[in-house]
Amino acid sequence: MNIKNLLNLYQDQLHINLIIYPFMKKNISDISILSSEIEKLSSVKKIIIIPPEELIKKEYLSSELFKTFSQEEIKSYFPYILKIYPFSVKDYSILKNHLSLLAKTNPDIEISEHKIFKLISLASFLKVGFLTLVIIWLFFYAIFLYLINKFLNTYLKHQTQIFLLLGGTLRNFKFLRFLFVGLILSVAFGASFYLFFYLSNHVLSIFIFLKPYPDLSKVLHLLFLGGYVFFVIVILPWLAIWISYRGYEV
Amino acid sequence: MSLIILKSVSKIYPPFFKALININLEINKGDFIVLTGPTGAGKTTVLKLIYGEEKPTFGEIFYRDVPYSKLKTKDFSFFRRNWGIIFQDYKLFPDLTVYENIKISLILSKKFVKEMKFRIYEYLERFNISQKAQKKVKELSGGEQQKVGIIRAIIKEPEMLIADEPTGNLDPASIKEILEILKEFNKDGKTLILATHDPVILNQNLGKIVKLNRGEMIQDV
Repeated sequence: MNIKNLLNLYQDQLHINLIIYPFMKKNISDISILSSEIEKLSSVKKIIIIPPEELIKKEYLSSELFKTFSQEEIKSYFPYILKIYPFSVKDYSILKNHLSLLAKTNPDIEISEHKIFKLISLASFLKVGFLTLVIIWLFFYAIFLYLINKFLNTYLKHQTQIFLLLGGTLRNFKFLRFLFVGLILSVAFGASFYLFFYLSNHVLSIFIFLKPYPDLSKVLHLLFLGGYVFFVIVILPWLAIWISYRGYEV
Repeated sequence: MSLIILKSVSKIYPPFFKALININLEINKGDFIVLTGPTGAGKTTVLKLIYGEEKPTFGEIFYRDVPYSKLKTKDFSFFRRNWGIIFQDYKLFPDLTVYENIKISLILSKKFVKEMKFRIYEYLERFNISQKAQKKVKELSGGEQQKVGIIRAIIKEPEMLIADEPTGNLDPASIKEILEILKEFNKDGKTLILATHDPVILNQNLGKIVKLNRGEMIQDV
C-alpha cells in the first residue's frame, strides 16, 4: 500500500480528533493546558481547538431544543474537540499511538479519525508486518531449501558415493542439482509473479489511491525486483546446496 | 619409491571398536598383496583406508610419499580415476544397464573414450555376459553383478587394483578365469591389493600374503 498517495489525496486534512467530553466539567483553560501538553509531542504540527459553542452552531439543532434548554445546558452536553495535525504520515501513526494511550487512561477522552485515515495505521502496521513476514518467509524458504537438498542427498547417497569412489567429484552433482532446483524455482516464481501482478491490477482498479509495487516502469523498482529474484533463485539455492553437501565427500 | 605405505595405522570406530591396531605395510609398484584373515579381521578396513573412504584414527598413510592427511578430496578423486576398485558389495548403479555402469568408469577416467563401445563389449565377451549388456544391473544375479564390478575396475587399465573379495559370489570356473586375469594384470607391472579368505586363491601363492586377525597384522610373508 502506498501511503504517500493517501497523503496526496487528503493533504491538509490529515488529522486526528480528540474528543473531550464535558463530564469532568473542564473549562477552556484546562483544555488549553491539555492542548499545550499534546503540542509538546514531536509528531504534532498544530492543534485547533473547537469549543462546544462552535459545534452547536455546526450541528443545526432544532429550535425546539433551544426553547426547552438554555444555551448553557445544551453546551454542557457538547464536547471540546482538538483537531490535532501531525507533521507527516509517518507521524500520524506515532501520534495516534500517543493519543490512544491518553484515551485509554482517561474515560472522558475519545479519539476519532477519518475512516480513510484508519488505513494509514493499518498500512503502518502492515509495513512492519510485511517486513516481519518477509524475514520469516526468507527464513522458512532457506530452511526448506536446505532440508529438500538434505533429503535429496540422503535419497541419492548410495549413487553419489559410488560416483565419488569411481573418481567423480561433487562439483558435477552440485551443478546438476542447482540447474534442477533453479529450474523449478524459476517456474514457481514466474507463476507467482504473474498471479501477483494479475491480482494487483484488479485491486488497483478498485482502490485508486493505491499504486503498484513494484512499479515496472521505475528503474529502482526493477533493480530491487531483480536483486530479490537473484537472491531467492540463485544465491539462496546455491548456498543451501553447498551447505547441504558439506562433509559429504568420500 | 613405495606406492603405498601404512605407518602405525589404527582405526577405531566409535565408541571403542578397534578395527585396526598399529598396522605397518609397504606396497611397492608391481606388488601382488593378498590380505587374508577371518571375517572381521580388518581386511576391508585396510582397503577402505587405502582408497580413502575411511580415515585412520592414528598413524599415517602415504601415496608416493605424499601423506593422505595433506591430500584434499579432489586429489583423491583424481587418484581414484587411476585406481581400479572392486567392492565387496559391488557398488553398481542398480537402475543403469551393465553397459552404462562400465561406461561411467571410462568416462570418469577419460580413458579409451574413442573405442569405448568396442572395449566394453570385448570385456563383456571375455566374462561371458555380453548378452546382458543392455540389462539393468538390478536384474542380474549376484555373480553377474560381481563380474560387472570387476570389468568396471579393470577395463580402464588402472595403475593399482584394489579388490575386496572379488570371487565371493563366483563359481569355480569363473574364479579360475578371474585369477588368470588378475595374474595377467600383475604381470604387466601393475600393483594389486586383494582381500580374500578364499582358500582357492590363497593356495595359488600369488604374492605377498598379509594375515590379519582382530585388527592386528599377525603375519607378513
